[in-house]
Amino acid sequence: MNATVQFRIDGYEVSALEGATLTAALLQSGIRGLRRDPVSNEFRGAFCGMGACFECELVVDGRTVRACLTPVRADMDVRTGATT
Amino acid sequence: MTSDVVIVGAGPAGLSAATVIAENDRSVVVIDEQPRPGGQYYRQQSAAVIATHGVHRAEGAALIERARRAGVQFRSGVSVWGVDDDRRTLLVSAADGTSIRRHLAPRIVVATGATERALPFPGWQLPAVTTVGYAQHLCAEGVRVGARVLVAGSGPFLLSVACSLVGVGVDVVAVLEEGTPYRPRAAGWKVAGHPQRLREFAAYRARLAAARVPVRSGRRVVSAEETADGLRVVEGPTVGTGRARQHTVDALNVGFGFRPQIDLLRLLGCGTRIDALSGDEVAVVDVDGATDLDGVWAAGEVTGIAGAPSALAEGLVVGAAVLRSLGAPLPEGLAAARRDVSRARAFASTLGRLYPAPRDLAALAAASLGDDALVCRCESVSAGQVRAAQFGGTDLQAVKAATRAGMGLCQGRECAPAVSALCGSPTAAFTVRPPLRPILLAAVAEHAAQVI
Amino acid sequence: MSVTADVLVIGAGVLGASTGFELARRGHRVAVVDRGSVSREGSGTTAGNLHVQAVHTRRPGQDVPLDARRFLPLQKAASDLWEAVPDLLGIDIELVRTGGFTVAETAEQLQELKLKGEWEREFGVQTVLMDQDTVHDALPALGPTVLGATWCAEDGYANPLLVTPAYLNAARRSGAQITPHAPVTALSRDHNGWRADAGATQLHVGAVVDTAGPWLADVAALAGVVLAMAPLTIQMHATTRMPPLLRNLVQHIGEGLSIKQVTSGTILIGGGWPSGPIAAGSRTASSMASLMGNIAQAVRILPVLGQMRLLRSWAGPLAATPDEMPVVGAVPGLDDFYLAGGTYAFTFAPLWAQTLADLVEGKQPPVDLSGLGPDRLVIEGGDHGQEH
Ligand SMILES: Cc1cc2nc3c(=O)[nH]c(=O)nc-3n(C[C@H](O)[C@H](O)[C@H](O)COP(=O)(O)OP(=O)(O)OC[C@H]3O[C@@H](n4cnc5c(N)ncnc54)[C@H](O)[C@@H]3O)c2cc1C
Ligand SMILES: Cc1cc2nc3c(=O)[nH]c(=O)nc-3n(C[C@H](O)[C@H](O)[C@H](O)COP(=O)(O)OP(=O)(O)OC[C@H]3O[C@@H](n4cnc5c(N)ncnc54)[C@H](O)[C@@H]3O)c2cc1C
Repeated sequence: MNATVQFRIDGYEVSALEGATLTAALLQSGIRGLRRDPVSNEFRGAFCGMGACFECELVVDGRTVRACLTPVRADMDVRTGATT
Repeated sequence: MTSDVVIVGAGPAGLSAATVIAENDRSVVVIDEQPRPGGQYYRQQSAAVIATHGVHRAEGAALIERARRAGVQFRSGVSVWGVDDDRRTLLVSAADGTSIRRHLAPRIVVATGATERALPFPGWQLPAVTTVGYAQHLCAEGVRVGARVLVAGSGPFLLSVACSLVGVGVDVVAVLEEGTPYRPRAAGWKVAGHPQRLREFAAYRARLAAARVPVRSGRRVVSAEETADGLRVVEGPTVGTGRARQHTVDALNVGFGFRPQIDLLRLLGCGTRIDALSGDEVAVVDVDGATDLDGVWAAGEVTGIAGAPSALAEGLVVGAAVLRSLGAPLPEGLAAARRDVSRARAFASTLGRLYPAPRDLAALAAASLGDDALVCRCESVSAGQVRAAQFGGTDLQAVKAATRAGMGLCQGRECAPAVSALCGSPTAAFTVRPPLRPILLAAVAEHAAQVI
Repeated sequence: MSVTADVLVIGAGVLGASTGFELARRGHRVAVVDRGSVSREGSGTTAGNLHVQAVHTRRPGQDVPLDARRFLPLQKAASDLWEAVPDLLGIDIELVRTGGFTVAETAEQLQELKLKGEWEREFGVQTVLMDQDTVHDALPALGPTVLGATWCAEDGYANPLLVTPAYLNAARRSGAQITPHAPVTALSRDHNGWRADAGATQLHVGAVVDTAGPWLADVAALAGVVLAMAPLTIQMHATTRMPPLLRNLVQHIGEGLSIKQVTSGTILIGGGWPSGPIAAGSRTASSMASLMGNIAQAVRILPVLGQMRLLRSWAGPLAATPDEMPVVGAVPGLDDFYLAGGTYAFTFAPLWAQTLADLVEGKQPPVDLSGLGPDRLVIEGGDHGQEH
């Protein structure tokens, strides 16, 4: 079984363990800033890691999701920096 | 979709209730928005992560397996966002707010657990600042929140997380505890009378000592700031004047305990009370975990913060009560579970007294904030704006209306303790309204076309 | 504590606040009291639309249509007054007049648009009737079921969370005393005026203005007059913040619907869909049937909304009358006792403020009030508590 899958973050090919939490995979790629706050335009990143704070929202395959609740899948297209 | 029982929350409480109900041949569906069952304490990883990093909390994995074997149906990655007007049908969606479905549930067990209490300081919104809970979740899948990390806040959970961080090779520069619970022979530790739990604490402290991680009591984070070298964190004394210190770290992990997640109970219309020590809203239940609403029970941290062992035992007690309502015989182990619940709750309240009361922590955080500091992260509301809110008085809802604090994406989950401390509100609970999670309008429209 | 004032205003919603301001700036000593926090009931939950073109005729579940033609001169007068409100209050209340569409989806509804257009011309309200092509050109986001619309450039909205506090602040600057958490529990005739118990305060005042919104009749009852009011609750829905995509107000001629994007970027969807039983202090529960119905309808009219996310719903209480028309004027049988309330009170706030202030001063009000007085709502046999 090949446990590692390829997917894209902002257009770059990356790999991570299948089913890893997306926020964890992003962190391993050195990415902490995930969404832009609509009021301040500042970058925000995963804060609570359990679905409550919504600071880790980003766009996966065109849908806004909480990255902390999203498992890594092969070929997913992840876009950070959206204003949500 | 129907079943005898619907349980919301697949943490220790929901899992143990589901298991006992299913093992007595009643149908149970367990809904949880996390991608896998386990809740916070028994959080489980994917097969690939387990193959690389091993199982996190094997007893949780075993309990989930046992539940599956007994026929429990898990609906993971599913959020409950509303309750229909019959107050019995749960409205659910995928965690991203799409594909709405309904679950008619003649019997509902609410085991929605708790969220971590966050308190603001200048810089708390920076991406390198996270809760301790999140840091621990990362450890559980073998990921370090940073190479150099500072842990701060208050409560016993800080020690446990610091140990997990050390376990995955993180350089923990210090643990800052706002209170002074670790003075030698602090009275509470003796009366706690739970040798096993106390040994757990001694082990944490020994482990941190061995790793040369200083645990400094009476110290707190003053501010955090992004610099070219990393996150610069200033720590200072909790009270009075004392030496300030600076740390440059990759991440700062903060935690101030847990708050019951009562939002679903509120939509169902169940009674809640305000906990005096925290200002948080807590479910009101009887000894069987029954709420004041027929056919609705609550178990686990949603009924008050008492830790995972209590949540497990409460799940069994509630499972038994649900079975009784279904005409099934009483399950084994009920008397022991009841004893476990009261012992765990007693321990939790004794332990709680060793640390500053959450309301005092919030009051201190609020008093320390300059007018420019951010209080509501989602709506960028500053402490000064909350202080200047006119006509709001101590009415949290009125202050929200005047400032927009609590109106954003998280719906006040993160800022409620601080906003309530800033305005002197007796409660730290904003009104709860549907949807509990953002949902896609197209999904609502589609669903409406099916049901109306 | 004992307080003497010229006028007591009961209820610090938008009507109490604007009336308190108007009286104070005319030099009266004014006390405004509220049972709870200010601006937390109808005025803290309202959609905040300034309805200038003739209003849609029915909320879901509404039995009696309001008299849209009778409304128009009032709307026109209120619209003219709103122009000056930001300057009077001296702060940005996020007032915008970017115009609004009232859409139609059936041939019958198109007829109604025409009829409404005739009334609008009669009262000098400028609207344009648009056929299907024109309206889709004007607002391409409209869905295919929209067959036509009227456009009114004066339609708009203001941020209700700012308006009422701004009125109260301005009133305070003009010398009014604002006291929240002071429920009025007793009213009696006193020398040449009224005595009121409001929380810990006893007031002796020359005149009483009842702007207690959904509880208007309860306050009038304290003075001994029984009014037939029909308070109800209605619901609002808000999306997450979005970049600018909708400049105008969108309403429906045949159904309860209003959609707009407010300054924060949030899109607000309402239209008078009913909520749970009335309860003070934001405790009225949201109705899921209304949430689904209102959202489905909004997505049908503006399909682009389908990709937005609903963040929150809320419910608010509304003072409605059995005939759906506003109620404003002196209460028959009571001296120095005036009231105002009813539907669209947000739009009418500056108008009812002037009207009530004029009535208190014994002047001619700015608009013809015939048919709008409380007399039509008085239930005979109500015990008049006034001692002569
Ligand atoms: C990272 C972390 C580590 C912890 N470690 C410890 C520890 O070591 N010891 C200890 O005693 N306690 C610990 N706790 C506290 C912990 O919350 C509880 O002890 C335990 O998990 C409580 O069990 P529970 O079943 O009540 O709730 P939880 O385990 O919190 O489970 C509740 C579940 O409900 C789900 N849920 C809530 N609302 C909805 C909704 N609307 N729709 C769908 N799903 C929903 C959540 O996603 C969650 O999975 C920890 C907490 C965290 C966050
Ligand atoms: C959801 C919703 C949407 C709406 N949308 C629009 C719109 O788009 N455009 C429009 O024109 N209108 C709209 N309306 C109607 C309009 O906004 C309200 O009718 C208006 O704000 C009511 O203002 P008010 O001052 O009369 O009453 P309220 O704002 O309800 O204030 C009445 C006050 O009286 C106080 N009170 C009650 N009893 C006592 C007592 N015994 N002693 C002291 N104080 C007391 C209450 O606490 C309350 O604060 C809407 C209403 C709602 C609920």
